Amino acid sequence: MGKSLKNYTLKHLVYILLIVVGVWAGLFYAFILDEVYDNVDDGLKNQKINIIRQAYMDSTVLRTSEFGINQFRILPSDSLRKANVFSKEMIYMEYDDEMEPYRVLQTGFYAPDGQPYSLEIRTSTVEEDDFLIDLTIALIVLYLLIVLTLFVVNNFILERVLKPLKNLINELQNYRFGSGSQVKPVHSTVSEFIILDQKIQEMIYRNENLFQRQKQFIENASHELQTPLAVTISKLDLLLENGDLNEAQSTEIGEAKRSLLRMVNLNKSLLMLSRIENRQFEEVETINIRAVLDEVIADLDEIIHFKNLTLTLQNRESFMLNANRHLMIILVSNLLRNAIRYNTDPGSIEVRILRNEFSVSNTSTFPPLNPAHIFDRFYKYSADNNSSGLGLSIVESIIKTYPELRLDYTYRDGLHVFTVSTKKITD
Amino acid sequence: MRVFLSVILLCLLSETVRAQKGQKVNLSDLPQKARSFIQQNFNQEKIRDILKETEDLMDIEYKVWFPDKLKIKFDRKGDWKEVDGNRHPIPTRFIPERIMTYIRKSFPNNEVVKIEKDRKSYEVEISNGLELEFDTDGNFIKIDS
Repeated sequence: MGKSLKNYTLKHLVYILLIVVGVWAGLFYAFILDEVYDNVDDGLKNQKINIIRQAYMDSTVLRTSEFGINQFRILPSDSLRKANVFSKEMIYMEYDDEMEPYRVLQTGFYAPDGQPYSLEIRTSTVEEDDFLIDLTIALIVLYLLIVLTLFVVNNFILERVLKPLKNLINELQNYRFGSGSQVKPVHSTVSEFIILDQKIQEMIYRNENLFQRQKQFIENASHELQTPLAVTISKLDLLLENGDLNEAQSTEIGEAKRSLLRMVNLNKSLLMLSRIENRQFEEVETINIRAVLDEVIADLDEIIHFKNLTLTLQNRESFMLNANRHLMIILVSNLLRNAIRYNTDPGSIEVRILRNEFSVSNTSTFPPLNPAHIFDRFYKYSADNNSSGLGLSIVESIIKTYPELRLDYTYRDGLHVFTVSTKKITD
Repeated sequence: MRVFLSVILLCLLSETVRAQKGQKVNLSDLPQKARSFIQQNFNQEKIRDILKETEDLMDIEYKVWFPDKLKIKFDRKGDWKEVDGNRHPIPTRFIPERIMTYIRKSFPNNEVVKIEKDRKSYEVEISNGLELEFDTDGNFIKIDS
């Protein structure tokens, strides 16, 4: 399962935004600090001018050798430091009993007597680490707000934009090929979705149409084969009855007739398969599986005895369902015939009816079968000439006709078990 | 022979060095403008040295030295570029009146010790060591920088 389209863009945006906000934060921090120092430095330079001017009017100023309330000191010096040198110092501040950052200007001037003096002026300045922490917190909040806003807006807008796509995906998930279900057209104003919808509709129509024609062809072909087969068999019968054949010829013709009868069976099965798939068994009534089973078992009783098999029927609860009666008889009969045909000698068949399922299990000489292929047409485990290879395909086609039914094959304790059940709601 | 050659070489070398530093000239070699500037503001009897220097290949600069290291610089046309009193007061008659008014008002008890002129501004240094900047009309721009 991949990422949803919505979160895909968001994930990238979150990373890119983090970088953008980070870079911006660095710039902002540098600019603000630069501006603060620029301001503080301008203030200090201005103070320097005032102090020098004052020193020319009042020579006692020259004796300010300690930082007092004016936050400057003047010391005699050997040479003049003419340039303005700024530095940062940590100085104890009584107010909050802490070392606080100060900006210090070191410079110099000439007194009225021409002697050089050094001048130091200081002033409290911004606490960079506190500023950095405040800025970081503010930016984290900003970042989270932006991401949250993006998330909400993204969800809201994309939800609306992608609604047609979501509907289309839902429709496609519910669509089953050849089952006659339809994909509802999606209404959208987005050209990509309109094209997508149009192409999907076209594709489905084409495929369904092709499939329909193919099914129709098989049905028609089987139907058309019936008459020539019947004619051929009756002609052979006539030939046999006339009696002017020797024994060897009679045997040959008998074998030909047997092969043709198999072909008739095969053709009947194909026709049945086509009819089921072309939905020619529409009438539905409430069926009690027990009643159907009884009917089929009565028909097959003779073969069961002949094949030396024992059939047990366990009926704990009744299994009722709405279906076509004819189809149900074919379903049950095919499952039982399958169990009879591939049984051991002697062997056993066990039929079990529960509330929402019934199962047919049988002993067999065959190892477990491959569940992926047993329902394929003409799939045979052995080269058995008497089997059409279509019996279980017919069973599967019938099951597919009723979406609420399912068919499972398991191999348990040496028994091949076919189970027909109604789908549980949780499936 | 070898000694003789090296002596000549040395002489040549010192000659070029001297040419680079500047070449001594007489008062009469100065442009007329410069001579009248000196006449009006200084005592030309006290001139110690006059140097003619070639700057940047083409530009010519004259330097006139007085006692106490007072120095005047002229450009090739004879307009003054700098008067440096070496921390001693200099005559102020040639300085625009507006500049002098500002200095007398803002920095009493201060004298002009140095003045520089270029195309855009005047830069004036006063006794206390501050440098003041004025535009060509003598309006105050800023202090120090």
